[in-house]
Amino acid sequence: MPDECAENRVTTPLAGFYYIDASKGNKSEKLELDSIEVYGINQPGDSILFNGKNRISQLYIPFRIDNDTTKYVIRYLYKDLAALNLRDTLTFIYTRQPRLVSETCGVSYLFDIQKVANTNMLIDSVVYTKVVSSKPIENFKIYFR
Amino acid sequence: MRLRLSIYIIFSLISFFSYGANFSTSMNDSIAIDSIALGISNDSTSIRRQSPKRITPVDIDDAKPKTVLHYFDKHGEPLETPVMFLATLDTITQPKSKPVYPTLNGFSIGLNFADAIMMLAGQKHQSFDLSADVSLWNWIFPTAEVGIGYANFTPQYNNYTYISHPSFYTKLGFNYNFLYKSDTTYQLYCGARIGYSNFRYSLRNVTISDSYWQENQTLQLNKIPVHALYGEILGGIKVRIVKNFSLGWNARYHLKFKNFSKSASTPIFIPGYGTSSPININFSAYFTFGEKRNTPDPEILKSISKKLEQ
Repeated sequence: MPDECAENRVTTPLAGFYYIDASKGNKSEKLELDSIEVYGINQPGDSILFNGKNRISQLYIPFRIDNDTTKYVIRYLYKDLAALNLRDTLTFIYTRQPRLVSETCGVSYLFDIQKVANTNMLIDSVVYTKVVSSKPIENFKIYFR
Repeated sequence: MRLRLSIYIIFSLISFFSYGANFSTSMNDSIAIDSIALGISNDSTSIRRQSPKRITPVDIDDAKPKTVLHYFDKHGEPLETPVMFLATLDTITQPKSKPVYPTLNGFSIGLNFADAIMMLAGQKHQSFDLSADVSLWNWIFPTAEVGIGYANFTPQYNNYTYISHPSFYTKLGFNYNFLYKSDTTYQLYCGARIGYSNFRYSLRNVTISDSYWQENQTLQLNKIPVHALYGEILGGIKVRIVKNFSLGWNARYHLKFKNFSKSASTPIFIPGYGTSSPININFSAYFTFGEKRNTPDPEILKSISKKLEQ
């Protein structure tokens, strides 16, 4: 049996992108995005987490480990939207608990999500699991309009 | 692993040769005769040594007439070979499988030293235990084990040092001896245990880092308390080496039932249970007291010796 940390040795939350398809009876559908830029607020080097050069439907969004709040900005690079400098901000508030996962996985954080807030330029809502561990599951479902 | 295998082979060889050396004391009529012959042989009166024939009794019949071995002829002279009246054989009328030893047939205390050997091989976690068992009919052996276990190791390519502080553990269970009608020199058994340990462990030198946020943390998690409940299924052998001293080994398959802890961490060493390996091998030395062995009646031996001296 593979260790639970086989794909996600350090606890890094995974976010998936979705939209609601009204033509299919408000069914939740996966959304593939390119032309977005994702970066963290107060990241020391102002480095970009995702630069939008390929299409993705999921993205690992590492949490800060010396702070209980992590903020990410999604900047939309689509031609018309980029001109408007449209962006959304996601705020994750959580508590951290270090734990020994197993002999091979070692010690990593368990994040207990207290609150998720977002602006609503293009994001509709965010659905999340209460606890984020090193299990390779999608912890956040970000619904776009 | 190679060392464990070597130890296994050495113990098996010891068991095998010890079995050969003690062959003549095996429990049946023929062996008893042979033992007598060996005990009284001298130059003036030779009693021919017969090659022993092993018989494992299957059925016990209380109604069966007792067979009598005759060591002397009608003139009182010792026979060259003891004689049994064959007419009394094969007269089982009410066969019944039942033990041949008394209900309480002594007790043993033992010391498991397997991890002392593994420690020499570099193993960083140890469990040592004392065991005590009572022989019921040489068949069922209720067993209690009490021990102490501890660990201190840093896994390679990982981010912590694991320390399990010395803690007690206890196991209760039984052994079932398949050779319950045979000589007590040998035991081939299976058994079960239920184990419990209340222990504390610490995680030291924990380093967690995140490359995107460029953050690093060093943590210590000290003395996390755990109550652990586990089970064992085992099988092994025990061989008397000399007098009341025996050696034995057994293989144990572990089943983790439940860890009770407020922490989200999972302990990776449990005293008496070991680490993640589901199977381990125990080597033990035993001292047995108050055991009835199936040997020739000393009074008969004395009387034969007297006759021979005359």
